[in-house]
Amino acid sequence: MTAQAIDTIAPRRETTLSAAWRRRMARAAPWLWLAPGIALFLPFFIIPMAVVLRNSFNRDDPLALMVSDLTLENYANILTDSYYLTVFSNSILVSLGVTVGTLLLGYPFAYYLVRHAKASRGFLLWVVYLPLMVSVIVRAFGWIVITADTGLINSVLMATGILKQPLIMLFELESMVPAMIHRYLPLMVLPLINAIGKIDDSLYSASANLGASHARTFRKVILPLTAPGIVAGSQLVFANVLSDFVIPNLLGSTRFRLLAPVIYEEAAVQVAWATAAALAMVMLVLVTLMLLLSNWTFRRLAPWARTL
Amino acid sequence: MTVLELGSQPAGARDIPAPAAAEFDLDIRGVSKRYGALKAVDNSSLAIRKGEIISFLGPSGCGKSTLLNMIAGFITPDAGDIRLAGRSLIDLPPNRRETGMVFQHYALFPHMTVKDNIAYGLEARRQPAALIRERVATMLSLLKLDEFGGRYPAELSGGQRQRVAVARALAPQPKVLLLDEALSALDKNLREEMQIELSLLLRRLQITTILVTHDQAESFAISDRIAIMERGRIVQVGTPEEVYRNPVSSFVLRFLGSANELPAVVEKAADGRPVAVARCGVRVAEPAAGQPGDDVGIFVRSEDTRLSKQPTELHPGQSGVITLVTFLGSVSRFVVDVGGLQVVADYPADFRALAVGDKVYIDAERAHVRVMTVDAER
Repeated sequence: MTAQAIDTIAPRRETTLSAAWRRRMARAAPWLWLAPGIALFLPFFIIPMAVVLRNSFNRDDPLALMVSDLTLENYANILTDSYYLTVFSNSILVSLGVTVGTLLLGYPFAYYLVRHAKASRGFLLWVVYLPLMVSVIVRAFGWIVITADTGLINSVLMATGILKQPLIMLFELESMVPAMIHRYLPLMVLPLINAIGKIDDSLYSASANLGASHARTFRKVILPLTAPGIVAGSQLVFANVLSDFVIPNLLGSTRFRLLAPVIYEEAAVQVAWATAAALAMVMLVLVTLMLLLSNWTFRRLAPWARTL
Repeated sequence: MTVLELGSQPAGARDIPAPAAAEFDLDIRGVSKRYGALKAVDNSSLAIRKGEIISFLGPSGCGKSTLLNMIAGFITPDAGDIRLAGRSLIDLPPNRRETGMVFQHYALFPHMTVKDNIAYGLEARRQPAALIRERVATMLSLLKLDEFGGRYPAELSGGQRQRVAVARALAPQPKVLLLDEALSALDKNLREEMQIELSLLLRRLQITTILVTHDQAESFAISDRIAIMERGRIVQVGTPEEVYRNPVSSFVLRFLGSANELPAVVEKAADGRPVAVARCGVRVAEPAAGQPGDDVGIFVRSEDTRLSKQPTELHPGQSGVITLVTFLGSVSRFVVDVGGLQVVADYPADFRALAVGDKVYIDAERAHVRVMTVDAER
């Protein structure tokens, strides 16, 4: 009886064990989809970021490059020095300006594309994507050609007699900001297209049927319902402008420094790696704070969004 | 006869004098709309009394929604006029027409609470805040939504959303209420419940209402009169009973309830009088439609169809065989094979006198047997 019992129990236990194992595998399986992402992210992003974080607590040394330490000196330095504070405020101002600029340009464009474009829809979408397909360097040189002292704009304005002296635009905000708006417009337009496209046609009809004018429908229905797209687009543009290196470098002014080129300069020219690391961490915190703040504001202003 | 004006008559035939504004609230006159070669609405006319509830009933693509959207102002007719309380609506934009529409999928504003949805039309018309609060409270209680004022549409059930849509449309006191397949998104039990509730509410408010539906039961349950539409034309207007009892065409008859249709040919009987003879042996003397040689249909509704073990005047020929008996709850349904044709007869649910395999003949009161010309396109 007992021998027989053991015989029959033993294989059964094996199957329950493998069943438990299989269940655990089944629970883990969905996470496998993340494996390629983690394989890329961990060695090439998380670990370097950790190194940068560690470096930001080190000390720069004129002779030994960087001395291992655990000090907040770099942070104290960059958060009190007026040079760095100006760089931070410049960067935030330009980021806000470009964000507002892309929004004012992108919203009507996205609205037209979703609501009114028929035959031209594909072409307009292609126009949105085009800047993403052309190298940013090429686009920056395009802006140089347009905004130079003897460039397109000045030639036209002087030939028509509107100007006697050329406008100084190149290597000033006047060329950098339009170039940034141009560069980041797709990041604003694509979430807006998505948000406007999600609004059911019948909501426009319902609003009109209830006596609302076009302006009222836009203010009370369309604008609030596209707020998620506005927030998403603004976050993307803001974060990207804040960390833009190429455009400020090629089109910006040395009298109006922005964060990313300054970090590069600290690291590569001044060889102040610890300072550069601290600046990079502050930039990361700035972006994170901006994301958290806009998410929090959005949740407060649009409590309905959680119900959808 | 309360059929006041039939639609879709050829021009010139419509010499009925225009009704006085007091008598008719909404007057649709010769309205047409084409989309390319398709006539979505074809010279349709209809006069609707103040406080009347009328259905536009027809299959999808018959033009009923197009007509409704022309009244609301979302579609501009190519020809014709729509007058509300004596004033033409044609040149008014949708937001100045004072119609209240309940959309098929409700079209509630998802970013507004129930209260804000209901208040929207009053705010758009710049009503004083005190009046808005009062009207919203009235609408909430009228549609039994008192507890839900602070909720968002996504937090409501289908039935509750439907009530909010009705409340929102009624809140600004529109001159006419337009219901676009308003109940079709609800499941069957809820739909029937809402049909009764809506019927009672609309009659209490005495608001002129147009209901667009493809559901015969729904139009019968709610409306005073029904306008049946076929391929852009209003083919018959009347009370539910009138259109059910006296359908003007085989299309209307087929669309309202289930009917047996026996293809037949009109022949000359021995005495020289015409007789419609179906292939299965059913004969109808002196048919109302068709000349000798014409193809016609003999129609008998399934609830009017009786089965007899003896040959009948209607069915003197070869007998049929009962092939199926099904219990449908309210009726028992007998399916008879007559010369390869399925004929359905509905009896009271407890009827047990016949069984599968019985040889039977078809019978019906003469008044219930209709001979009609059949649409060539079917």
